Amino acid sequence: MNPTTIERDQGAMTAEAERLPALIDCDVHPIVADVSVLRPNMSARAARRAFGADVPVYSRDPNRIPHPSSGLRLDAKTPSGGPPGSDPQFALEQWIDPCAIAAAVLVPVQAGLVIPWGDEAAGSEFLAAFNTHLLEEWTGLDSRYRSVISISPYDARGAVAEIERLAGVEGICGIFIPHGAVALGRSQMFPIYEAAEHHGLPIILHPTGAEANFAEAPRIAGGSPDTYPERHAMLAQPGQQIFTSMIFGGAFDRFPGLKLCLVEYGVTWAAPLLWRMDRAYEQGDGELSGLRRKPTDYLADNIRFTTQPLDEPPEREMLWKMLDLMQAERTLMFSSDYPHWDTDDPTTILTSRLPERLRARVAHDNAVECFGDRLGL
Amino acid sequence: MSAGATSTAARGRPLVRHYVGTVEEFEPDRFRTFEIEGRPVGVVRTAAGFFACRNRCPHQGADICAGAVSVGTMVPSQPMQYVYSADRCIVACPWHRWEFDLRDGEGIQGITKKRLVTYAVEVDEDGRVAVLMRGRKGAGS
Repeated sequence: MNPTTIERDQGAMTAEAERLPALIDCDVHPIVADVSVLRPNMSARAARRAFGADVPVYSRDPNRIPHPSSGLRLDAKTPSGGPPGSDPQFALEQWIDPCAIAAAVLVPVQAGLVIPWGDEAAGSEFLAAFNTHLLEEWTGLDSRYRSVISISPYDARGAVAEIERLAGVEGICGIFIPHGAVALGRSQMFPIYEAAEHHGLPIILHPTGAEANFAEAPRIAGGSPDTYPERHAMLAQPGQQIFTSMIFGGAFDRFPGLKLCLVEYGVTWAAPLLWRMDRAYEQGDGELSGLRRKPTDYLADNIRFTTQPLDEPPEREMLWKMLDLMQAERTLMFSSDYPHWDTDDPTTILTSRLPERLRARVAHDNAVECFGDRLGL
Repeated sequence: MSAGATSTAARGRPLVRHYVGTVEEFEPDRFRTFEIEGRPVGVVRTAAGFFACRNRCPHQGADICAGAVSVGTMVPSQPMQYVYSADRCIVACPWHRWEFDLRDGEGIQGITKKRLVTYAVEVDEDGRVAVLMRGRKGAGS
């Protein structure tokens, strides 16, 4: 490819992007560089469990599958030398403003630090302090940052209390569950879904980095991966398990207004998995007779996916076929994953990878239908 | 000192030298970036000489000059074996870590058919560093 061609393509892509409706980014990652700032908002007992005498407990947790260079963008360190995602003002300047993002859903995977904790009450206190901090430091700085309520999957009562505390706060747009080894379709999760449906808050799931790292973390079937690429390629597995468990567990029958957003688990697997689920439902000898609809019928009403990392097959028409099969015109929302190493550029994704018929739906419409007024638009 | 490949598309228009500094102003393996004729350009001094490229990754348009520069990279090998080749001078994009050869812009290990746009670099007797670019069409240069 020659320089002239690149310039023409980039110009056309930018012009096309400018014709799209306001962009909503459904996956931006904030990080608290020094979690000890949360200590004042925690009880002495919980702080002692969380932070010990000097060293934050989580920093003792080994990551057996680290990224070979960095899991973060190398150009996103903050001006003061902090880790990418730790400076909300810099994130505005580097990402939100240049990409003309009208609303950014903050997905704090750092909340997944509580997964290996044995002290459920201390974990819930940590998350409450964490939620308050992000609301104040990020959403409080700029209303385009839309916060979520991070809750523990091991403490349903504490989770509901935290949802009730924050559901009415301006700037809250969803509930983030840092996934553990709990199957999310089990009835122990239903109080959380009941509160989520009541308040119109979508449930957001996203890999936390804990996958295959801890006994209580989401597992990768068949044995733990040995390398980062192996783990990264297999991250669809926990997403598929959440998807299957919540549908077959009856969450969407019990709570028909509930929305599930599967962020960064991939998308092209959804249709083939639903084919298998539909057949299992039909041939299940009555075991799934509690379900009112076949699995495919829940997709458009209850489940959303996000784009990044969008599969890159040899021919983009192969991707387009898979997107049609998963009803992407209703179910797919744009996400960048900023500032992680595999950030997706919105202009490239929307104008070069997606067919024109999907662009406005993915950039804007589907997210508005999912999050509603909570995007603050 | 070293020369990057130029595209055939702009042949016919004269090469223009754009001076961007002196040798000592370039820290080894750290790009300095410039806007030259409206184009974002990065220039780097390496153990294998000076290189210049467009500051835009062919994959998704990231500022590739914020990435790591190295002489050599890992090459295909058997599982759990690691083989390093020092034959190529590499820039790795700070986003997805796609690697490109700074000599000709080729994607390493065939990761893409697209090439990083590269420019020739000259260093004169006084240590002045110049990027050689074809004038833009219609720019009159």
